[in-house]
Amino acid sequence: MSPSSKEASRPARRDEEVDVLIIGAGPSGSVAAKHLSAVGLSVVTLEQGHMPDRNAYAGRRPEWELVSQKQWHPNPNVRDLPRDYPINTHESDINPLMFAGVGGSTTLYAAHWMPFLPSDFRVRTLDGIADDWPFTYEDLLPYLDEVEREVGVSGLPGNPAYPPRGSYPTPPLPIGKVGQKAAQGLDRLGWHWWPGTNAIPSVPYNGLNACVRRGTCMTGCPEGAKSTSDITYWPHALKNGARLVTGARVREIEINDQGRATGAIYIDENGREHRQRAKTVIVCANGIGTPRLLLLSKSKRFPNGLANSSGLVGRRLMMHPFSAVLGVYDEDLESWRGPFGQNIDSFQYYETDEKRGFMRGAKWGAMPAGGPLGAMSFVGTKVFAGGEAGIEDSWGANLHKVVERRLGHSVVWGIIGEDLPEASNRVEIDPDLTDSDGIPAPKLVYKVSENSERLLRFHVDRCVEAVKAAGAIETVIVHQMPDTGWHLLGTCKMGDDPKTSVVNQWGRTHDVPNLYIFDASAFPTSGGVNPTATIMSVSLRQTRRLIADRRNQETP
Amino acid sequence: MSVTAAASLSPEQRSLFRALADVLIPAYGKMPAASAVGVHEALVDEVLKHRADIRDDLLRALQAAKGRDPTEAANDLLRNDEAAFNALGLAASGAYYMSPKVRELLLYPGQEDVKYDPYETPSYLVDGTIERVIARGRVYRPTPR
Repeated sequence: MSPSSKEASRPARRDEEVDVLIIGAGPSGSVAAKHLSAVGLSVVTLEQGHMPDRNAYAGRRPEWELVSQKQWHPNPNVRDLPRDYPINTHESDINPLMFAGVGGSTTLYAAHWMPFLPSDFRVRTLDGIADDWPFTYEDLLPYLDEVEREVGVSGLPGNPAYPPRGSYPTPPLPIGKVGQKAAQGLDRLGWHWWPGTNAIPSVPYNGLNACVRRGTCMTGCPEGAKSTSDITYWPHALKNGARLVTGARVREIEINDQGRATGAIYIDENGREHRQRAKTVIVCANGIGTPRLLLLSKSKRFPNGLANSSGLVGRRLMMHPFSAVLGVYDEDLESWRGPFGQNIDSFQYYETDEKRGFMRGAKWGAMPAGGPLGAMSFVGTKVFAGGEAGIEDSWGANLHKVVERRLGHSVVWGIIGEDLPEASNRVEIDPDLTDSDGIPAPKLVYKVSENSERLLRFHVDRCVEAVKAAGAIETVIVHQMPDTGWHLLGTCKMGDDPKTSVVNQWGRTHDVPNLYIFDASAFPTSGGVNPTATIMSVSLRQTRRLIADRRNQETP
Repeated sequence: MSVTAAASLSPEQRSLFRALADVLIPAYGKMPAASAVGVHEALVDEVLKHRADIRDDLLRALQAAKGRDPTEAANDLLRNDEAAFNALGLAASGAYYMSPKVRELLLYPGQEDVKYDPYETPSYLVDGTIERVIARGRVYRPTPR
């Protein structure tokens, strides 16, 4: 991965005050930048990483699996690159995964496009636990429809896991032999399944090329066929006149005597400090980066961190505990082929049934298994190997046997369980650890709950039934994998009451009237699905409200 | 990027790596031993080019194997120096599975691109499987009113 120093547009002039400053060019920040700039507002976005270089992605090269375990590993503590910030995870059961760059963590996501379901917005009403969202699935739907047209989603309409909707912008990707085998088991059991819906177009779309099924989605798509905002949003935003400053790491949001945000201080790659002034500030730095920045932005007026009068900034961290089931079959499934991406999904056990001994549920996604090193690994981590009491356990003749049996013959089911919010699961500022600019790093305190444990055990058992129903000759279970914190949610809760939430239903902080949070930090609950579709839809909803209400916006 | 002389392994180190790699990846059935495809030659250089982070751990593993039976040395590393053993394992397996001969024997073409017709009717639409899913009805709970 070669760092690119190029900036997509010029940095803001010193002392220039813009209409909107966005911190973070991931999915939520990119949506906001495009749509705010489209109506003529002056927009600057600060991004600590760089514009991706597609040629740096290793998917076409023989060393792909080797570098996926280090340079392209989703865990920033494993990658340890200068633009990543370190995270203290010693008190966390799950390692957070993310990527610093334009497009944010979607650079390394699997592009499963799974909007939150109706019940996800009404958990308190339906199940008597956690919280309802301030709006419903139906309220969000128009924004989801619009985002899907910008993102270039592929899929088959009619999934009975969702209320009826229209078609997707591009036809479904082939589910391949992996998807057919996975579906076979569910079909025999009479359980729900559906061809995978992915943010990966099957035909060229909005600057994206068509997927070629290379199967290296999670280490960056060398074809430019996985939807990331550097391709689908930033060309439009820049054309609109938005400015994007890369290599810009924000260390503090500034506040004036009236309690209004006035902009942010950031550090460029040469270590120089800059001040970007703005009438409105939107934070889109993910469920860890956003509370980190707010907690770092202390002042006399906000001694416990910015917008933290509720004490909830950093609290209620949700990361979706995750288990995986590997099914191995006699048949040749060409299981290195993509997309990776989900070939099919299942929502058979998504909704609450209290008789199961836990609340809420999980979505399953069937994926391919990669190359020879993938016979024992999943997304760069060796998890499908047994214990190694002696060399012969995982090496020698056994290595050959395992690779021969599994390579090309495997289906990996990923199980994403809903993570219920708990105040004790949190992001703090580490007293000692810093990033490469000397800015204090975050520390996580996170325990997988009893509900999650029960949920995952139940789902793994059901998943094994499905894998065996399709004729598996071997199954391997990885219960609650540590390196699976792809989804960073909930640390600046959205709600109506300033005493129990950080932002209102439009993403505006209760404490600072011109400070907004548009990323998944604001999610009151986590759902049990991949959140990018909902993150981008919520960001568009909040952006539209900000635009409509801009004449009433309080400014510094 | 080429491997510099300073970064490459010495002949002695290559010899040690060759012996240890054959303990981890011996010949079996149709599959050749690690040394038979040259993991200790250009392939290990290729591994270290892309994974310089494992170099120190690998060199420690090789140093520990000097003058010892390679099987004993490998087991000792597994028990007493996990980082060195993991570096050795990754270097051996990474090199082995990058070998074109090994990939040919495994019928693994690498992560290839695949041509397909996105407008072709998928089999699940005509063989009744999707119909059965739809017939079972919705599996979501609607928004309560």
